[in-house]
Amino acid sequence: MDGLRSWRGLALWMGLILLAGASPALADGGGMISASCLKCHNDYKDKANVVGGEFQSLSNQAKSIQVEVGDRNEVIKFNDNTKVENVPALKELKKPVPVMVYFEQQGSDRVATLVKAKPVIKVPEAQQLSVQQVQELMTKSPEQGKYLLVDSRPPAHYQEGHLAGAINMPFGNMPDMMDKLPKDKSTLLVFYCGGFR
Amino acid sequence: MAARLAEKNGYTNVKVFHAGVPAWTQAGLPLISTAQFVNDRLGYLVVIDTRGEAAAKQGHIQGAVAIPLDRIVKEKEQFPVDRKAYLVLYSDHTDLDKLAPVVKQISSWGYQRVFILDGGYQGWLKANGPIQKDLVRTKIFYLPRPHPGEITGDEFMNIVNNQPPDKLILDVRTLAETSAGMLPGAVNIPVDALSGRLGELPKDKEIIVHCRTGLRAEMGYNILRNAKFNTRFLNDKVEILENRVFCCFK
Repeated sequence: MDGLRSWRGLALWMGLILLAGASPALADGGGMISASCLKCHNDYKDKANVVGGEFQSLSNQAKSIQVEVGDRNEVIKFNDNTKVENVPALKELKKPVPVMVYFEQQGSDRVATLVKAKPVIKVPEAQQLSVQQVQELMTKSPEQGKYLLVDSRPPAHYQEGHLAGAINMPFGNMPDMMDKLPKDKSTLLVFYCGGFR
Repeated sequence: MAARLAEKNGYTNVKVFHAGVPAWTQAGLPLISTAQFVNDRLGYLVVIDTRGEAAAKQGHIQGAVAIPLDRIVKEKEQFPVDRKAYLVLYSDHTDLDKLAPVVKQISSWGYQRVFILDGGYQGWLKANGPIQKDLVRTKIFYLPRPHPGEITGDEFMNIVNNQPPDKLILDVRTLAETSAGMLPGAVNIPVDALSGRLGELPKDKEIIVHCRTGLRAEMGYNILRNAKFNTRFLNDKVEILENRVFCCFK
């Protein structure tokens, strides 16, 4: 009996080693967390079994979701046990919400145990400006109104379309760009990005 | 978050436009595109020269269509069917006040990507963007930019009809779907089983992935691409009825 058990154990280990070698996730040796996630979550860099990036799409028939990580998409399965955080349900996820997907390797599949959407940042109401307030502000030039609009999104989004007169300070690069802000520290700074969900 | 960082650096009057860009465009308010963005995407967006045909003849952005500002609303019929099409309006300079009402009008037709060129034609010249003289387009023409890895419907149907030996058509639909019929020469591996069955696929052929709508085909494409296969996918609809193939009506 003992001999049989150890033989089984050996076969199991060999199977695991083979599976690890065949894992498509590591095929190109690339990281599983996108560079933009790592800007704030650097501790995830070498974390195993997590994919981090922008949610792309969900297929109910394939029970899979796609997450963009750098220049490629990772496909991860989900099932009825997959938990979600910060959205009511998986099907409520909308492109391009950043997500962290915690998964288990089951055979050749990666099955999500938890899909964590990026939480909505809370800003005190007194500090928020509405569309109308921003519009009103923009009837004056930045010099006249003593204000500056700051677009916190990545450069590609800014290039595509930004509010007139806004400067681009991608959030991740902000510490190195503080000299772009006006010298007068009482200037009204209005930050905006892709909006809350 | 950005506002906190500014406060930490001593700024005393910091606000957040929390609703951001989506709310701004939803209100039909204009966004400004840089010359670099327009140049990078040239050919895959509708660039409208609002200065009129005479000015456009003197020089205009390559491929732009000349429609005078006061006529744009009357030309609604010739705008693209695709409401996600990129539309960029320009005048001599940014001319925000002049162009903003027209942007609002076009947005109200359902277009989600209507922009004003930063600096207008003068800014374009300064950025050394490509220009044309004389030959001015007066009819809107729009071509969406293909996504990486996509195959056109025409090339796909060519492969279906001619079965070239260096291509393999992979059908990633479920068994329930494929039992009603498959494309000639196609191999079926449902996308949810694909990662475990990569060994069945050849590395020396280009694998063309399709499903019923394009969504699962893209997933299949990404699984194959990450496993270093040579692959593309059809981002379009395919129906097979009584051995007849109906393709590409997305």
